[in-house]
Amino acid sequence: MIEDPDAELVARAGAGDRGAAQALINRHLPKMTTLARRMLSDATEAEDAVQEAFLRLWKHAAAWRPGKAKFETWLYRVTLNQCYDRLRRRPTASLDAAAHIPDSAPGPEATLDEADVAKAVGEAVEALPQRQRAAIVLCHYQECGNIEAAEILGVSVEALESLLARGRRTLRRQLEDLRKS
Amino acid sequence: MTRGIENPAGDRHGDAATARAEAIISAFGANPARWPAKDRAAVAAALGKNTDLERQASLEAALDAALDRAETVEISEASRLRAFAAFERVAGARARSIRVRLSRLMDSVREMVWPGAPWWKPACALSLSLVIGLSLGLTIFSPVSERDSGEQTVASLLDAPQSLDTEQSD
Repeated sequence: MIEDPDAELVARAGAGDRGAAQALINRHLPKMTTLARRMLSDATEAEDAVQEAFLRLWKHAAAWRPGKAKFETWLYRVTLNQCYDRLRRRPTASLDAAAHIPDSAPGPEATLDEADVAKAVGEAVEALPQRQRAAIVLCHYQECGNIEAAEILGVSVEALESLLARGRRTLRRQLEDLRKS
Repeated sequence: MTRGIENPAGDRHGDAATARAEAIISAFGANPARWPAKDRAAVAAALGKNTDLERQASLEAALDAALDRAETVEISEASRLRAFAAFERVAGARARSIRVRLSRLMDSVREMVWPGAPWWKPACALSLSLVIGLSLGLTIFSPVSERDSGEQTVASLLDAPQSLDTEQSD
């Protein structure tokens, strides 16, 4: 059986222990929020996705049985699925428009201020296909290991590597275009 | 995925190691901390021997640096409070649900014992029958071992007198 640092807290929260619930919030809310924000690029939607994931956590905590998967992996998968649901409900824009990085900023990257670069990077990540974006967010920003990230995404480790490589290639190209512009 | 980085050593094992290193760097970037643990040493070794791989790693390092410049995400206190409020709601609802289920169970037991009666009637009936049963039991009951020993005493008394009587008559 795998060692799960959350197992005891989840069991206590399931039994109504407020301290355990607070500890779970403190431990996971920041990472879940970061994941949702980078997936959705919208603070309100990300907040809703995280809250929905927490609601599911509280509802399932009493029935949680450790052993199959780490609780954290399950929780991130729930958060990611909430993000996918919201992305699916969004009106679809053309891929070209979505992939477009605004080039209105004057001059090369050297003359852009930090906020502009941060915004451009955020938009480049946002323009990636969902699963490539999720792979990059999990491995780069959340610093998940390859096996954990693959479990969260529900793919093999090889498929994860492929998603990451394709996503990074697209990002590199887009950021290169930005620098040239 | 492989973009054909050449292996200067030219051996098949070296080709595979170079291809794997290239795949790892293009997927996970240039920071060894993000590479899969089982491949880390091999990728680092391949990187030191191959200038094409080094060039690729420097491109990936630039991308890592760009990604690190993305806006940071602030976590609001309101978000924590909202998550905790959801916990309170769910825990409260669960406690209410347990009380409701318990109450339903007791109602169904009451319906079986005394259909349509208010609670106090079956409760009184059960209590009364319990008291009567216990009282009767305590009054009538006598342990088997005591009864056995009494019978044995009587039997031994009936058996014994012959010799006693003989002695007394003498």
